[in-house]
Amino acid sequence: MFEEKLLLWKYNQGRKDILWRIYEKYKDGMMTLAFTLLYDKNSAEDVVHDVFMTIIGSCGRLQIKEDLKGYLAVCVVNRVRNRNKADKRHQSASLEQVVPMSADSNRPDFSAMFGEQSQRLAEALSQLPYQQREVLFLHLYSGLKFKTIAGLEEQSVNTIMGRYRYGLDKLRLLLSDEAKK
Amino acid sequence: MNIKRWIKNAKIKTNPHVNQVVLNNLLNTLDKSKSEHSADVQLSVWRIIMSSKITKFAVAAIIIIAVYVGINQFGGLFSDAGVVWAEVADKIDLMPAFTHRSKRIIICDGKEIPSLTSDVVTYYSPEYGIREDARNQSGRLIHQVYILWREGLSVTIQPALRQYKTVELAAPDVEQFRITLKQLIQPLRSGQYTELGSKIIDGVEVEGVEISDPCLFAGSIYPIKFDSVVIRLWVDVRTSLPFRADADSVTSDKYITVFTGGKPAEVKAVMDEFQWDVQLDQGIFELNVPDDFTLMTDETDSRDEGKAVLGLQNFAQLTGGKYPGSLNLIAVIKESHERIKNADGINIAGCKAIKALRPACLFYGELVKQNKDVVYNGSAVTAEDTDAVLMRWKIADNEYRVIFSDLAAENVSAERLAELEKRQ
Repeated sequence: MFEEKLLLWKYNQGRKDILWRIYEKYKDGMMTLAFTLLYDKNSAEDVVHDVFMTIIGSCGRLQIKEDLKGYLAVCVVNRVRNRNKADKRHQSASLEQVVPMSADSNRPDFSAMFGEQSQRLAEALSQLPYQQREVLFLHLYSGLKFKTIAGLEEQSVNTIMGRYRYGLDKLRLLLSDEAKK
Repeated sequence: MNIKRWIKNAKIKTNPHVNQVVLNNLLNTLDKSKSEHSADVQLSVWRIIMSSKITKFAVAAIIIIAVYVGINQFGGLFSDAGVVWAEVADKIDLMPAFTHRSKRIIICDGKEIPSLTSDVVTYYSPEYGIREDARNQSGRLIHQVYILWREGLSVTIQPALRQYKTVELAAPDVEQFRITLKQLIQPLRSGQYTELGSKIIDGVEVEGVEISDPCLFAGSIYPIKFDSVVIRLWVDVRTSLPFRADADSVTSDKYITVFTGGKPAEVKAVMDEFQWDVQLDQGIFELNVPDDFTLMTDETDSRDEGKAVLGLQNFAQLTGGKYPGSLNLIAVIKESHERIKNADGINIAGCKAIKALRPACLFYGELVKQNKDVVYNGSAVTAEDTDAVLMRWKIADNEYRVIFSDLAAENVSAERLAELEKRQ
């Protein structure tokens, strides 16, 4: 916690010498978030890379007021959304209509990315609608409050909490179905 | 399995190769800015201090206090200070290359003119210039604008008319050529705006100001002149960079009113999808005009042989005796940029050469339009050649006007012309 505040303070001072530390500390988390939202390794790497290059370029010009981890998470989400919007123009599908990826238990990505033990959960997560996946990870993984997420998505807090609950319920259902098989 | 705990502790395996590439980019960026020697010294000192137990806790205490002071002094983590508009102006002013999209609607007599509704992509490079591509709802290119710093020119291309026009820029000085966002720097710095408060756009918290200045864009070299402009600028509170801008304007410029029967038109635009600090390839700013496009001219533009010859003479003097390879002005622009550069890369001599050649290009274009069987041999002929035909055109059934390599001019018969051209 203290290191995070110190990193943030130094970054806002334009101290470029701590950029490597920010990268070391946050890269895995950002990559996890990006991959969970996109389920495409290359796209996730692009998103994280873009965010970091922007952070590097903005050092000394940008003043981040909230915590760095949350800020970086929001940057990742915004980039993912831009990417989805760009795809939407080509595919004539809205963000709400982005269908969850169909799971394939033989897909190597999940095992390679999350490890054998977490493969089931990762696959189940991939079957959630994007919006539920986003809320789950922003709240549980990135630590953003529901109020902040609601502001980010221009929705009411109740809507966000609803997506969160439905997401968790569906995950439990998918995992229990899988266990029964 | 505890789902919440798993998500909290989720961690994917990252690609070490990608990690290293990103880290190398980071380190390269740091190396480039290593003129800040104090940063290196501070890092070394930090490591020395932290290796000592006694000093470690003292330093930690000092840092906690310093962080606290820093946070309060600079309005850090807990400040509810909003956007500082002068800072926004600074960021726009100092911003290297960026791009954005716009949607523009043209309204006349209260009705939208659908054929003029356009989606626009704008590229801004402090090194090369500005380019704007406007497409209609079918995706067809309806106009392009290039504002080229090095060539000192603005070029507007109208594909539908198969025409283009050029405007010389007063001086190849980047500071003079403020367009769209850059026009807002002065009002933002001087407080000439009305605050609009904050809201959420596309999930982003923004604060806005309205700028309504009749002189806005007055000094701009943008090809359309506006009678009035109101801009509402929305800035991302996290980055203090523009996120969206809405513009409402009225114009009587004939560039627009040619489509409205001469009536003034309202132009409404929304600018968004800003991409800041991007890498823009020089190729984006290379003119790409088909050879059969003709130069748009004013009625006062001269199509005079004498001025055309003078222009060729001036060009040859600037290039050590060479003539332009073509009298298509776009080709001249490209050629001049490559051929004539001073040490600063600013193409002052090139600007002069292009300006000098304009009458020749107009004259040549007029001859083409009148089907005068004009031929120009600038790529093969230089000022040092003797009796070579630089340019010729038909003036009567069996008679041609010839301009020779030394720029002397003569009327010759068709037979004589054939002999001259055979020798070349």
